[in-house]
Amino acid sequence: MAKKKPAPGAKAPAPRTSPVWFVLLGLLIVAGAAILLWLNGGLPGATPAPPGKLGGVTACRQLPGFVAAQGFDPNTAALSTSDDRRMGLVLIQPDGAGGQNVYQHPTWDDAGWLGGLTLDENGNVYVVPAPRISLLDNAPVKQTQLYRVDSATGELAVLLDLPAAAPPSQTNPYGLMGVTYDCETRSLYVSSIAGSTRAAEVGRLFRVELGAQPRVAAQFDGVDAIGLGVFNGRKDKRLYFGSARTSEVLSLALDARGNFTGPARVDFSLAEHDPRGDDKARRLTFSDAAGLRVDAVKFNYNLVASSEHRQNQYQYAYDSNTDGWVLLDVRTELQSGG
Amino acid sequence: MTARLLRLSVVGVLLAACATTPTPAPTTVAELLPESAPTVEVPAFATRLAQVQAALQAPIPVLLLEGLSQPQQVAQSLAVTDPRVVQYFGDPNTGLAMRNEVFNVHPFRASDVTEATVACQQAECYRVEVYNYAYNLTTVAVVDVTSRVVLAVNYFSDTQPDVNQTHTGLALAIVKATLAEPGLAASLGIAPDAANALMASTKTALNDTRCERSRHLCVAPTFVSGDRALWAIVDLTEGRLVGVRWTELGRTSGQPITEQSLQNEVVMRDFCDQTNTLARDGWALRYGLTSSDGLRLAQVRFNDRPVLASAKLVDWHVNYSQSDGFGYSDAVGCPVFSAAAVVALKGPEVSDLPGGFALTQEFRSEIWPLPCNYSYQQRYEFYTDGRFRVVVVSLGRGCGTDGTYRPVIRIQPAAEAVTCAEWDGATWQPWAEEGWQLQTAETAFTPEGYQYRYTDAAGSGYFIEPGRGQFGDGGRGDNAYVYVTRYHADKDEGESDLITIGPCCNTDYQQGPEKFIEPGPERIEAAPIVIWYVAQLKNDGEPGREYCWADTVLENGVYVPRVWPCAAGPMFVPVR
Repeated sequence: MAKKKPAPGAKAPAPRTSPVWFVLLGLLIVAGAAILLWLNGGLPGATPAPPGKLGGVTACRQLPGFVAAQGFDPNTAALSTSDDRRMGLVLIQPDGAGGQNVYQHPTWDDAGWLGGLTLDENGNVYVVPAPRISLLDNAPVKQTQLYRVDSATGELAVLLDLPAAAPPSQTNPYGLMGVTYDCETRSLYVSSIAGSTRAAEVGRLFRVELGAQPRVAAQFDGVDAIGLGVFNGRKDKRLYFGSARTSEVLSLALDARGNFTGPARVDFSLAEHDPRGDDKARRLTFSDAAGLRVDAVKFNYNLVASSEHRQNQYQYAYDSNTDGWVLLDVRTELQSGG
Repeated sequence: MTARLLRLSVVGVLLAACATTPTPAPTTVAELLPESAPTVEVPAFATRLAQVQAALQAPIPVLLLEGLSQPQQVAQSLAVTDPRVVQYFGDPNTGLAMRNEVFNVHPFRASDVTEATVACQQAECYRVEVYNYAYNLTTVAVVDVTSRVVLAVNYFSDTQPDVNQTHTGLALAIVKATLAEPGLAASLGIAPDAANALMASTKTALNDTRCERSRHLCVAPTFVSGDRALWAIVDLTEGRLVGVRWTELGRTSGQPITEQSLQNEVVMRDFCDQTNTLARDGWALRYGLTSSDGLRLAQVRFNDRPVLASAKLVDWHVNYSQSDGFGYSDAVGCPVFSAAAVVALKGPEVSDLPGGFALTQEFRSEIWPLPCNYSYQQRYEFYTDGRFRVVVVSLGRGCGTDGTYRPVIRIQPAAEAVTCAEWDGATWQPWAEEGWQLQTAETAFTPEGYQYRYTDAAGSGYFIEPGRGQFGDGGRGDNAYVYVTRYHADKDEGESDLITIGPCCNTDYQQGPEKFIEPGPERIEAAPIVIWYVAQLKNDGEPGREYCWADTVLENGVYVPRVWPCAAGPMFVPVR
């Protein structure tokens, strides 16, 4: 699709369908089923972290500095990677007249179409690439690159190229899938399904330590995951992830530094509640009130997933007695694809 | 959705208790009923359809549940006359009746009481479940029969209620009738005697499944045999068997067996993981589905002479003129683990043509023909006189009526040294170098309609006849860009699976193949060549002029697609 870069503050026409608002504090992803464990920042069998305050761990996240600098209202502006007509990242805000104010930094489409994003306590944005409908703007070899958008300058640049277990192939155009940030350990978690095939699940979970020299601090192999989220339960802190291959949501215990202490645990499956039968958890959003919203889509390692905006939303509540999750509600959203 | 609607599969419990009937050896694990299978007459379903037809004509167009107690009847009557329920009995635009049916009238459970239904703590209440086949929608009404009032109405899209005994009987009847039809059990990988044994089995369960692509009501009667179970997915909207899958007892992936999972499994196994061969009417060829280049032919021969090295469909470029730069580059291909955005739901099928046959493959977006979803078709036609045609078809619907489809076809002749020429109105003018040409209103054609020709040193080869609306398939002309590039055995210029070759929205010759020509065209005289054919098909949604378009119409109370296809593609005619 041809590039289109509206000027800062330009008004865009009202969207064709209801806009999908990507609330700043909440994007993520993951999927998987763990087989192998490799720790590079922790020790095998490391002690799980003592339980913290029950709930999610995203309270520290701050809006990027460029939001206000561009004249957007931090209360109503949102970052989106799901605009059908503007590739990459956009900052949008309703203009009060049925349209939108839109800002897109010149670098925000450099990585092609994007997927999940998250924020840190300084307002830096971390975002992963995600091919949409075609590979024209998302070369498979670049799908393992993790990007950072500087809070002050708004510039998007490669933060790390996360290693894949196998090179990309025609049968799997995806790389990085999910990203989430744990404010307590200042850990960035990223999932990747790069190199996975129908026969081999070789995806990975990464814990990235930020700072002057960002690095992969820990890695968990053998899981294909989409949505990610960290939650403090009654017993321990866990990284939850939605499998890219099944409808299961699994989790890994984390130690005090945020490293994986494995093995993966299957927490629940969407399958029996899924009106369509094949949902994959693409986004996990924990609330401070110990709730979990799972946004789920069909995903079959092809580009159909990115061309159809059809998802189910599952609401769960944490049961501290069982350290498990109880389904409250399922809602179906049906929108046109593209 | 309430927990009440969340159906639980009972297969695990039922199958765990199974005994030891000898297991019929399946030839394959999963099979779809072939599209070409004859229609199976199922008397019970025919009777049901007659009841549906009668209901569609009734003042209250809903098929009511029979055998109810008096209070249940009251609850049903109140529910189906409540405006909140009635609003889904007719199409909002035409008023035509939609197929609705009351599935269940259950006593209301105290545990389900909400603020709206608190009266049920003191009153006799029932939960009436109505299924709308057209919308695949469940409406649940809570009725207080003591006060004769409908307390609450809730809607659940893409959701079916629990089926009742009538549906169970229909599903079993459909399976039994299908497997009893001569040849069909075998086509599903089941030996006829094994099918008989299965149908006689008392270890039968009715399991949950979904037809998520057709959005039909489906169930899965499951027949236990030894240490295996046969899942039969039955479409109760259409009254047909979708396909079957064997599972081993006690082992489950947790993923349900559904229409989509069955289709994906069969298509991947039979057409993506392997290459198939076809021999008919003097033609021999190999074919298979690719990750993103559609149905690919290879080693095509006629009367034992090589014709094509390969042919495939690289991309569909879809451009919407009223929005600058808006459109999509759609790749078509395998349903899972692929770079396709529009995928194969079933494998290719061979059909008869006057004087030949066709090999046809369709690709679909999951929720086509809803807006911004697409369906494409590839059709390779072969004739007994040596002609062949490479056809592509758009079945709509897309995002608007200002769309232009530009399918990129790659055709590689088998001959290793040919010269390509173009008709200038008087003679054949050879192409010395790689290049491209656009078919326009001024283009010259031979009296036979040929625009191009390629021949070897002995004069053998093919004329190329672009589509001008003459093929009788509704095509209105191709307006095609034709590119000729030199083939290199040592350099991959599209021979292997191509990722997206070009952007959606270029309206000129820059559709992708030019990248193998520019900046320095190579000599192509007496050389192996590749022909790229990019038709340009402008869609139309205007009533009476539809083209490359699709819509839904209500038939027998259920929405079905109606398509106005646009076909394009050149005929290749042997040079005698």
